[in-house]
Amino acid sequence: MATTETVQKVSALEAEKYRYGFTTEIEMDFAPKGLNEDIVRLISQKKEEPEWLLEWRLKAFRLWQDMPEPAWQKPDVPPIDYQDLYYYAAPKKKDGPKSLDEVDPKLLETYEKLGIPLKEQEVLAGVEGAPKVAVDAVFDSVSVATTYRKELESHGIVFCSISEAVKTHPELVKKYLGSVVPYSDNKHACLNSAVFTDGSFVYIPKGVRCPMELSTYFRINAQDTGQFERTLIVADEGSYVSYLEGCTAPMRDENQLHAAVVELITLDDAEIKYSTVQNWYPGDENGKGGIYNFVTKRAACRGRNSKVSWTQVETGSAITWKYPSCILQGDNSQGEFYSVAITNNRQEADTGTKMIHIGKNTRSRIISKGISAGRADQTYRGLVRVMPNADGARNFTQCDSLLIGDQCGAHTIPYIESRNPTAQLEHEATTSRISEDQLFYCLSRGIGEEEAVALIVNGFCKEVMQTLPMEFAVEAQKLIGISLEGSVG
Amino acid sequence: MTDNVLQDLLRQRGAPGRFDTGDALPTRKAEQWKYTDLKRLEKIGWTVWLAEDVHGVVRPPETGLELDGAVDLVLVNGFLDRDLSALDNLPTGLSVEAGPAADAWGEGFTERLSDALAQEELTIRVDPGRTVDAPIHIRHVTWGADKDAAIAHAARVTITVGAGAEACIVESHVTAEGRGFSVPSLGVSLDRDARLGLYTLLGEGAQSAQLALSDIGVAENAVLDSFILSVGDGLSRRETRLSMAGERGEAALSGSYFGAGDAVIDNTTFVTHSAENATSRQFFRGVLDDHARGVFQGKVLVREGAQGTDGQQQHKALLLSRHAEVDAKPELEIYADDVQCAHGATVGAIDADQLFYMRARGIPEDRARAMLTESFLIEAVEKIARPAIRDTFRNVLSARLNGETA
Repeated sequence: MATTETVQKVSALEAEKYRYGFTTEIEMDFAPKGLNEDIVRLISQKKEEPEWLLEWRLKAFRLWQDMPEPAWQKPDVPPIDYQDLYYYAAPKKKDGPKSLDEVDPKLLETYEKLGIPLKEQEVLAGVEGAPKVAVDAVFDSVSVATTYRKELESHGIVFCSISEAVKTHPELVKKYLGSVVPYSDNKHACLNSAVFTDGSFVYIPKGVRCPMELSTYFRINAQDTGQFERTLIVADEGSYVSYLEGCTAPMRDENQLHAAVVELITLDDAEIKYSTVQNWYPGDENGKGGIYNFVTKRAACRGRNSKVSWTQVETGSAITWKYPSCILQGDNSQGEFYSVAITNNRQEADTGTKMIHIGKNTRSRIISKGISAGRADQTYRGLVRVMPNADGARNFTQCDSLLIGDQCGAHTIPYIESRNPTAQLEHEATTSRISEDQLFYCLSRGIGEEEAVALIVNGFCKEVMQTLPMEFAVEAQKLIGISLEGSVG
Repeated sequence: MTDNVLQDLLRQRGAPGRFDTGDALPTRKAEQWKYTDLKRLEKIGWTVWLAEDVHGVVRPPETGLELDGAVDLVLVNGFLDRDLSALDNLPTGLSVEAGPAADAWGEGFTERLSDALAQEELTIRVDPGRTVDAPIHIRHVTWGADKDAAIAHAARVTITVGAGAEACIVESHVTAEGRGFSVPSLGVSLDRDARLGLYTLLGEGAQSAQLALSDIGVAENAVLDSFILSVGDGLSRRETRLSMAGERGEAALSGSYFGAGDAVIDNTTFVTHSAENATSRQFFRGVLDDHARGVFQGKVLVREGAQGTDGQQQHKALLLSRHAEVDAKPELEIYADDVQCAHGATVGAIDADQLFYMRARGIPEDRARAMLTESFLIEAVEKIARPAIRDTFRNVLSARLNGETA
């Protein structure tokens, strides 16, 4: 009796800490567990894909089987049983929803709980004059709804799920898919290429400045599923888009795999701003459960004067392992990487970026803030490479780590490679802890200890938080506080 | 020459050590060797120098270092030469012995290679509480019968500085004749309250290669001041393992390097802090010209419980040529929260403003560049704590740079 009570109490506590830890009872359409060529064919068939895409998937799958698991990372990743996962899980369709009203209300409820403004009117009703955000929501494996379609279409902007884009804009998808992250890139990207089920596709035509933020929410709901979404954003000459990505998952004891691929392409004078707030379930205090977040994100700045800016706030996942990168091909192109990563309890993160300077006068800027608490371990791993023709290339990197408690770890592993005498590269890294003085100052003014820590950490991350779009910044600030609960005292 | 250099060397030495028959020199696929390519070693048939071999060195070659009243210890191809060394009348408190090499030093490639190839071990001891004023100059000389001779050798030196003792050791590595593939290992232990200055000059010829290893332990309150000047034309990699295992120990690892031609200069450091309140400072400056390549891989590991650690690391490099390359990987791995650790790394060209300023004052461009290069490298030389040593290293560096620009 007493034990049940304790269990209930503890689980109630847990649920409070991770408020997205619920599951939605919804009728799902699963493919059989396991992975083989038939599953790849089945996914492709379910998506009614053209032959070339199936062939591409199969090539990836065949290569994947022979690829060894990567082993250079800091986190200790237990072997993944790829045969014990569902590779396709979709909410059961009831004659295909034509509009939002026809979408399963349970799904909408889920997104409501997550705080996603799926219905435009709700956004408008919420705050008058609030900026519009178009949302593509991905539930387990498939995109369930995309909002603000019409308005975007009037600008010639394509914003839809990638499976839809394969049908409606095959020439664009065929041209760009896999052109930044080839299927042979790494084991997880290769798996994604074979089995990706959905994700978002964005095309901004020449000279168009996207009138609103575009956003995708990813949700892993079903048990034992892996989520393999693929995002492809193409910004044509002179265009601009700001794109947001958010993710959550229910609490489960077992680990779930999330292996996404994001490809960004900017042509002459185009700019993409890509912001992520990653809040996958991190596992409990003892490191049980949680998402393995193994993501390949890469941008190709192909055009002159093009720019890609990555901002990420990483608070979730049991293991995060990703390096949003920029290949700076076009002359005068720019890459930016702003990152806040928070690890608490038993979480591990190995994250950073790569900036490859190929074109002349290319510039890159890296600001990384890592906060490690509890028994967590965190690594910044980054590469700045200047190729022989990148005259006048410029890089500035700053990596700061903050340690909370004496049981956690913070590591910095930058690779700096220069093959051009006119390039200038600067790298700085520091490691420190929250000073007693700062804490004392807050406490003496009546601010609680946890609140004080959140305040100080938010100050530490300010440089990065400022680069987030406003709606996201507020959420991210709160998230920092929640993620660090229980890290002091 | 046979299938691979490593197996060939092991066969000549008659001791496989901890290698398997399939092992070879590491390739750039190995993370630790990502930036330093050992392929050039494969093109040469090296002959392992054995204890019974007789060399023809009459006088060790000039190093350019001026060390007043130094105790010279001359090692030719890894073996102590008693006739060339000043073994009589050693200062009080200093003892020098040569005997067979025995220890197994570790699991890394360089450790295993040094274990397999080292034959003799030179042991230098400074008795507790003693101060040896005269610098002890360990002169490593590579000698082959003619200019094409390719000699492989592996000197091993261990230095123990007793509690409260003080000494100053200068190491130089030069070629008398021929070319060398040397794998010198240096073990240094500073007992509590000991003070040691340890200064190294690497100046081997263009065809030479060196994979050096130093393993240094700093005990409670002990102070190490060290500096490496790399101006050789061949391949030289120096792996320094520094263990800060005593409370309040202090260590400085500094270095300047200048690479021209096809030189590869690799400084790989690994500093471990396992005791509280110890301090380590790394300060490196490098300049690369022609097709030269510079590598800095520095790691600071702060173990759990090593509170109050102060670990700083700085590496700055200048590229003078379109074909030169520099690769840096300054790494921090930290498991304690009350620490001050930082690293900085920059790569760039000579500052255009400074150059303009000097030219505006009538200094020709070539001269201005040379002056700026020299002053950049001297920033690290200035870190040497002992004034006399600082001056002579500065002079050696200047001579090398001016020889280069003349």
